[in-house]
Parts: sequence; structure tokens; C-alpha cells
Amino acid sequence: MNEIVSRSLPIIAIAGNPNSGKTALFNAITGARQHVGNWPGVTVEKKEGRIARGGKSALVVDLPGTYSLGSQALDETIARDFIMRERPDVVINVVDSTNLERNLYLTIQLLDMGVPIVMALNIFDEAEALGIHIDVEALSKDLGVTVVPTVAVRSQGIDELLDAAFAAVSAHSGEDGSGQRAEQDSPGELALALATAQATPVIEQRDQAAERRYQLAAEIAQSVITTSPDSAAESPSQRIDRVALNRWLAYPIFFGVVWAMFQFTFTLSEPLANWLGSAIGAFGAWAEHTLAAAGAPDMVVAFLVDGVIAGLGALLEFAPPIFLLFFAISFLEDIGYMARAALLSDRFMGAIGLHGKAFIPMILGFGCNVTGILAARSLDSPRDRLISVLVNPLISCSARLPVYVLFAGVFFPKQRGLVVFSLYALGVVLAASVAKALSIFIKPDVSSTFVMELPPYRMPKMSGVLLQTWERGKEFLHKAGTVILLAVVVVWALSNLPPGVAPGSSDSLIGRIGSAIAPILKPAGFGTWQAAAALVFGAVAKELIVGTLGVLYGTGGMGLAGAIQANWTPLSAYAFLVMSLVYMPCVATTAAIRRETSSRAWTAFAVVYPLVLAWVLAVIVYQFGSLLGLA
Amino acid sequence: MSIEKATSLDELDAGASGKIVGIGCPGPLRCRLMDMGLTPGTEVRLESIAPLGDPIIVCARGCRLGLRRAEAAGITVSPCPALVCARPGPGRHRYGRQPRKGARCWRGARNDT
Repeated sequence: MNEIVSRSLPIIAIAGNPNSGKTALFNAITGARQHVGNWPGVTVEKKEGRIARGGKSALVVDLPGTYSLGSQALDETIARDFIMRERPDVVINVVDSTNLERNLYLTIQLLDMGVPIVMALNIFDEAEALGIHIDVEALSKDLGVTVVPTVAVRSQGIDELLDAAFAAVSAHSGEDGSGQRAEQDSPGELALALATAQATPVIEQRDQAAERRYQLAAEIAQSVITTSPDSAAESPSQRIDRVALNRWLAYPIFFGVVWAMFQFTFTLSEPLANWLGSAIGAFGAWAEHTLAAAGAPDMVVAFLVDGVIAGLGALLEFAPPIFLLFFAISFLEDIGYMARAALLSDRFMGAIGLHGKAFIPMILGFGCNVTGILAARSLDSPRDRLISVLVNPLISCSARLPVYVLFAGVFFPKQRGLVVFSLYALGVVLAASVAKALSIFIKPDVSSTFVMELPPYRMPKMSGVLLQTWERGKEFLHKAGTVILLAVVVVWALSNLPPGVAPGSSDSLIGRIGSAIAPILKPAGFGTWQAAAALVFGAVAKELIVGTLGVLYGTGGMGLAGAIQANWTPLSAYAFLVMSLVYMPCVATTAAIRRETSSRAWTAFAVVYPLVLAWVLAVIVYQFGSLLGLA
Repeated sequence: MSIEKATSLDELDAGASGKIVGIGCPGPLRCRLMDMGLTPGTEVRLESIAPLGDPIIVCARGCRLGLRRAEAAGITVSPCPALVCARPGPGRHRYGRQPRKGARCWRGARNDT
């Protein structure tokens, strides 16, 4: 991750506006030789890759998309700091040819700071198709930099661009002697100070600087664009938006897309996940047989099979939905629909203090909170991302459904649907309330403003989407996998220690923990060690609650219903369901929270606040119910 | 049509255009709007309004932006129907929420422009 610090290789940074085809260009340059990580200390994706050309190699770093170097938005601060502190040997400035004027604003800022740049005039084909003709030579002359027309999604112009970039690297290291750059205070620092200044007298200067840059950008754009279409004519994207954002059609289309995404992520992944599950099961059985035949001690066999291999299985079953989710998100982002979805959901998400983009993560949470939390990456504001991540576990995921179905079936056979629905509704209400509360306490940052570009609709390049999906999915499984595996092993150990106990019995560690917790749960009406132990197992994966109760009551199938009927009342059962809904994120979700917040404190908060909330709610349900004579 | 008096961006009709006179929002929102090209003197067209009446979609410098009404309320424009809007809007009048009187922009207004 610290490759950039060591500076053994020249650095080529890629900077440009969001939606300028920056990532496509990065993919075209590095191909599969790229690495997706994080910028140190933050959860913004960092992509880098090594390239070689004509016997020379360089490190290519894809900076977050940025409109301006003076912005205080996290993503954009990262881009600015990298350019100012790491001083890349050359910056490839990716410019959207269909939107030259706005894109030139960043170019002019880069030039003001004295950064060596090579310009990639990207999406050149689309500009031509729209009737925008740009005089490349004139642009190059006006700016004093090399300008290369490119079509990144079709890898056109990449060779010329890299030649220009490497030439700039050579020229750059040549002029400073041994590749060492002068460290004196460059005029760029002053420009930066001006760009970020907030003091009132400086604001005027900053405004003037922005106005001046845009004036210059407009002048340059006007002089180099030889022909342009009638500005009053409707662009293809505007025509699509007449339908996609239509007063009557917008929401049916929106919910159709969300439904399709949900189906794609969860329905399509189910057979795959099941297949992986049974494959791991078969592997476990084979391993058990082989190890037993080889004379391994029972304890070791059980540990490897029920602990390690089962944990691996739990992890692998997450892989299909996660890869499909990342695919769906990358696709919707690249095609340009994500911005429309945000626009359409902003009215109701805004009411709970969040950006419109926070809607998709919430919806995906109904399938699996892990996917919901990962989907929050598409939010630009770190604050909104954090809040979305923290409240997502309150959305009732599909793993909780078996618990509801079991208890509702036993105690409320006639109102089963209503009981299950009430729990889903409670989850949504809680998520909205907690989000609203957090949005009051966590101060909005600059990117919490809605101001958002509606990018043109563009057909994404499939290989780019797949590459993105693969890199993101692999990285998540790698990071979260360790936590999930470890948790499964720990729970296995708890239910099988001390040696010799019947797994999960009241003498095992889990039984003792259950007995210790049970008194705390008494006010909620289900103070038995079995209920407590089931909740502990449920912390690994919510669907384990049902299975654990089955094991603990020593029954299966219909017998479990009888045991539950004997140990619960309808009221305490409902309190238990409320507890199961809210009480804490499962291990995989916790791992995802840790991964996405990069903060132990927030992860701890995300585990503790639902525990307290769940207990309070379950107690309220039981105590009020008892007062009303429902017990 | 004669030049009307200055109004805020969110009070334009769908399809109407104006020239930005000033940005009254403080702090980060001000920078953001400027960085996105909404500088004084820029021609801007209110392209359409989201189905629920908020946010609005505006067109400036050849690019389209979604803005909340509360954010657009801080942008003062002088309406100029003849400038950009050669093609009239869909002929539909503004619908949805009526703009509040003295609508404030994000985190308090400051009308120093």
C-alpha cells in the first residue's frame, strides 16, 4: 500500500472530473495489472498499477474524480494532497470532450499550480458524433501542454497518450537533474492556499479566482471548438431523461430498476451460493472421513471440519451475492442511472438527513446487510456513508426471516403475514429514526450538499465493469474473510469446550454464557439460557437462531414448534422477534462495517447501540404487553 | 419581454433561463456551486423539476446539475427568457411545492452579494 512513498518508480497520476472516463482510461492503461486498495486512513478506493513502456516503467495512480482542487470534499482533498505532496512526475488530465468548458476549470487549476500535465481529450468519438469538433492543436497551443484525443473504452489513443506521458516524465526528471524535484515553496502552494481559504476577505479573492478560471475556460473552449451543435437542441440524454425522470413514469421505472437489482443480486446468487455450500459440505464430509481414517484425534477432526471448513463455507456463501452486487452497482453507476436514482429518492432520504444516493444501500439491506453496507460506497459524502453504514443493520435482512416465520407460525398462525410485516416496518422506522438522530449529531460536510452532476447516459464497457467487480469483490472477501472465519471458529470452540461436553449443552462454555446472560433478558420475557445461547449464535449469522434452538431443545422439525410453545408465550415470542431484528449486526456485517468505516470506535458503536436499543424495545414490548394483559 | 427583476434560481419556471447575479450561500456550498460552474454572469436554465417537486435540474455551461430547492434558493438570477431558452419549455407550469417566502439556503443564508 505504501508503494507511492518509496518513489523508486516515476509516478503518473490520473486526474479528472467525475464521469470523464477516468477509470476507463486507467483500465485501458494498466489492464488487469492493477491493485485496488484504500487511501491511507480513509475508505476511498485507491487504484494503482505498474506499467512498462520502451524499457521504462512507471506507477500509475488513479486519483478520485474531482471537479476542483480547492474543494473540501474528502475525495477531492485526497486528489489535491496527492498532487501537492507526492508531486507525481506527470499528471494525465482526463477531459470529457463533450463538456470541455467545465472540465477545463480543473485543467487551469492544475496549470496554475505548476503541475506538469498531459491532457487526454477523452470520449472524443462521442463529441464528434454530437457535432462538437475540437481543434486539438489549437487547444494544445493555448494551454501549452500535449493534448491526445482518446476513446478509453475502445483503447484508442492510449499508445500516443503513454508516449506523451513518458516523454513528459523524461523531460521532467531531466530538467531537475537526478529526478529530484526542487522542494522550495512553489507558486502552486500559494494558489492552493487561495483555493482552500475560508477567511472572509479571502473569499472574494477565491470567488474572483473561480470566475477568472471559468472565464478563461469558456474563452479557450470557444476558440478551439470549431463547430458545435445548436445549444437549444435536446441531447440524447435529455431525451432519455424526459422518460426516466418523467412525472408519471419516473417512479415505476425507478422501483423497477431497484427490483431488478435486488433480484439480480439475491435470486441469481442463491443457486450459486447453495452449490458452493453443498460443495463445502461434501468437502467437509470427505475431510472428516479421510482424517478419521488417518487416525487423527476426534477433537482435531471436529475442529477442522465443523470449525474451519464450516467457517470457510459460511464465507464462500457470501461470495456470489457480493460479486453480483458489485456488478450491478458498477453497471448502474457507469451507465449513469445512479445519479437519476439519487435525484428521485432525495426527497424522502433528505427528510431523514441523508443524500438521495443513500436509498439504494437501504433497499439492498433487505437482502443482506453486508451488501447494503458495501453499496454505501457509492455515496460521495463520508458522513452520509457513515450514517448509511451504521443504520443498515436495522433493516431486516433475509437471514432473519426464518426466525420470524418459525415464531409467527407457532404463535400467530392467522396473522403470520401481519406479524412479519410489522417487524420489517419496525426495522425501517428504526433505521430512519436513528439516521435522523445521527444526521443531527454528525455535522454535514461539503459533499452533503446535493449539488450533483447528471452525467450523460453512456453504455459502459463490459470488461471494465467486470474488472471493477472482480477487484472490489476480491478485496472485500480478503479483508472480511479473516474476521468471519475467526468468529466461526470461536463459536465452535465455545460450544465444544471444555472438552468432553455435549456440543452446545448447558455445561459447554456457550451454555454457561447463556446462563449468565439469561437474567438480563428476563424483563423481556425470555430469560432462558437457550434463548440467550441462540442469540449468541445468531450473532454469527442470524439464520443460526432457528438451528440453535433446534439443537438446544434436542429436537428437530415439528418437535421444535412444541418446545417453543412450551417455553414462550405469544407476547414473549414477539419480544424475542423484536430482539432478533434489532440486537446486533451479524459477524459478516460487523466485518463489513469495520472495513467500510476504517474505525474501531464506529464499529464498536454499531455493535453496542443496537444491543441497547433491542433490549429496551423488547422490554417495552413485554412490559407494556403484560400491563395490557397480553401475557 | 422586458428584463424582469432579480429572483432566486428555484423560483424560475421550468424551461426558463436566467443569468446568475450572485451567490448568497456561505461556506462550502458556495465553493461547490462555483466549482461546478455556477459563477456570477453564467447563463443557467431551469430544465425540469423532479417528480416530487424537489430537487430541480438546471443546465449551465453545457452540463446538467441536480440541485435542491433550498440550495438553489441562495442563487440570485435575473430572468432572461430570450437568452438560452430558444426552445420553450414543455409549456407546463411549475408544479410541486411553492417556494417558501424568504427561503434560506443550506445552513443559513447570507445575502452579501
